Amino acid sequence: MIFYTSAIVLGLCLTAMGLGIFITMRIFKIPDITTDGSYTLGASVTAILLTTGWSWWAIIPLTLLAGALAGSITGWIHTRLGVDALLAGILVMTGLYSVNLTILGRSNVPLNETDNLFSSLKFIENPLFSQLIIVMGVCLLLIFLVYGLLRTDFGIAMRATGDSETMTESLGINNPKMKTIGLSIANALTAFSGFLLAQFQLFADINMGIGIVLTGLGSVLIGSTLGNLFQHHSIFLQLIWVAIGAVAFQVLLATAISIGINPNLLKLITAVFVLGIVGIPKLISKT
Amino acid sequence: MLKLSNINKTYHPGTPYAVPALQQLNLELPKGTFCIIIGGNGSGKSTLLNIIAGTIFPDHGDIYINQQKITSLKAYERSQFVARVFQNPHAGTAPNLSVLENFRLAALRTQKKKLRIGLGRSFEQVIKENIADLGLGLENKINQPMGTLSGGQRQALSLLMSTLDDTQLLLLDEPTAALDPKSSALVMQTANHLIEKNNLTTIWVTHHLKTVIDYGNRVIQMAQGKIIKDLEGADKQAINLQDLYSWFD
Repeated sequence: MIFYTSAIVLGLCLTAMGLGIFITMRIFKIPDITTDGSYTLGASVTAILLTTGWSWWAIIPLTLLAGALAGSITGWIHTRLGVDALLAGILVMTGLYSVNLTILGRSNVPLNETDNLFSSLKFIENPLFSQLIIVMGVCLLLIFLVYGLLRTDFGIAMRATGDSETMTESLGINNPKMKTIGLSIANALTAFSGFLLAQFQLFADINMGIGIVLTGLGSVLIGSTLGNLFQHHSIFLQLIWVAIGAVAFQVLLATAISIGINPNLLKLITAVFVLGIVGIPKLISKT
Repeated sequence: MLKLSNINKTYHPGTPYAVPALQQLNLELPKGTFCIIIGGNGSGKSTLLNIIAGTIFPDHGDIYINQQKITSLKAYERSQFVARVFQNPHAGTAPNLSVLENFRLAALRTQKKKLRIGLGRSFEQVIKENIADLGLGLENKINQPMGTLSGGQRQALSLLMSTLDDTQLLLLDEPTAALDPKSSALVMQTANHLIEKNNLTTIWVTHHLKTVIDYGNRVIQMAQGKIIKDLEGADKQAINLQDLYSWFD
């Protein structure tokens, strides 16, 4: 029970990243690999500031800002220098490894002795359920914020940019600027996942972001597959399905471990899961 | 209203493949002109439209709208003056956005897209009335994704979208080329209705010679990047299809 509840909390912590990947992948159709770096960046900023005595709530804007900065650099490289989005993301992600290592000062920073989000807002005796309540609340808040943004005139312009750049350009929308802003928001959300995860796991590690983009991608794909199954096409429900997808993905991984699969194979299992989500519907439609 | 002065554009300049697309082109369109541009493939029609829209820039020459020089403005900046309907209805609308959301962006073409929710009941009502005016029965489909409508319906709505927000110059780039005859007729009638209703200065590029007979108050023929015929008023009204075919001999 504790094992699966932890998986659910983990999934909810990763929902922010899922929402970010929803923005880059689903809205802008940009494969953004910056995620791997900005996730660790969020955790690194959180860890180093918590250990120097900062309050968790004061760290939030800095975490978001750090992620947004990483995203905006990717956006700038892609839109201003004309570098392919995938390569731009890889460049920034690679650079962020050194940045994160510099911030952390070493490869791993433990947070056991710090006052963090979860220790400060302990609602009930059971710490895990307290964490569950907190991250559920945070996820709902984020979903409403992203939904609210996407409903505004600016948000509609963002969604249209990913849909038809010819149209948006003719309607007075600066496509490169819009993509850069979208990447900034997405990576700010990803960094926020790093902020939550570092405090949930009670450490930040330089390697914690490796392959995390695949986890986020899997969450979005599971969410959209389930959403399509239930014919849910509204933006709000799609965002809810991203959260459900993030949790479902972690529960699937937890199930794989609980049935005895070697934890060393976790990344391989992640890759196979995502491949399955992408590939199986295509195989079914061909038969 | 629109003035093009000594416009030159060459593709692949300085290479053996250099193609002079526009050569010393001068054109003035007073307000309310409905100008049809015809010409063979490679005559420079689309280049001219793209240069006015700002998607490509001239090598030489200047473009003015209402005496304001817009030559160096990017396409998204020119949208405050120029509205455009594309050949492909899929290019002019966002398929995954609802019809209403598409119209919201069109209504803000000349304005900033702010962090405010503009999709209220009053906006919805105004758009419903505008769409109902087309007589296509699409006013009850405004919450559907644009991509679920037919090409002809999307193109008709795209035309309406282009006239929503203080349009000063309307560019129609073969808007019926990708449509079947029935949809094509529908779009042409819609275009004519909107242009006349709003007294829009319009440039309509087409290969359909009958369009020249039925619509517009000025006709221009282009060849090899130059204007070789330019008729308006009574001269334009006197043209028949046989005359037009003879222009291409």
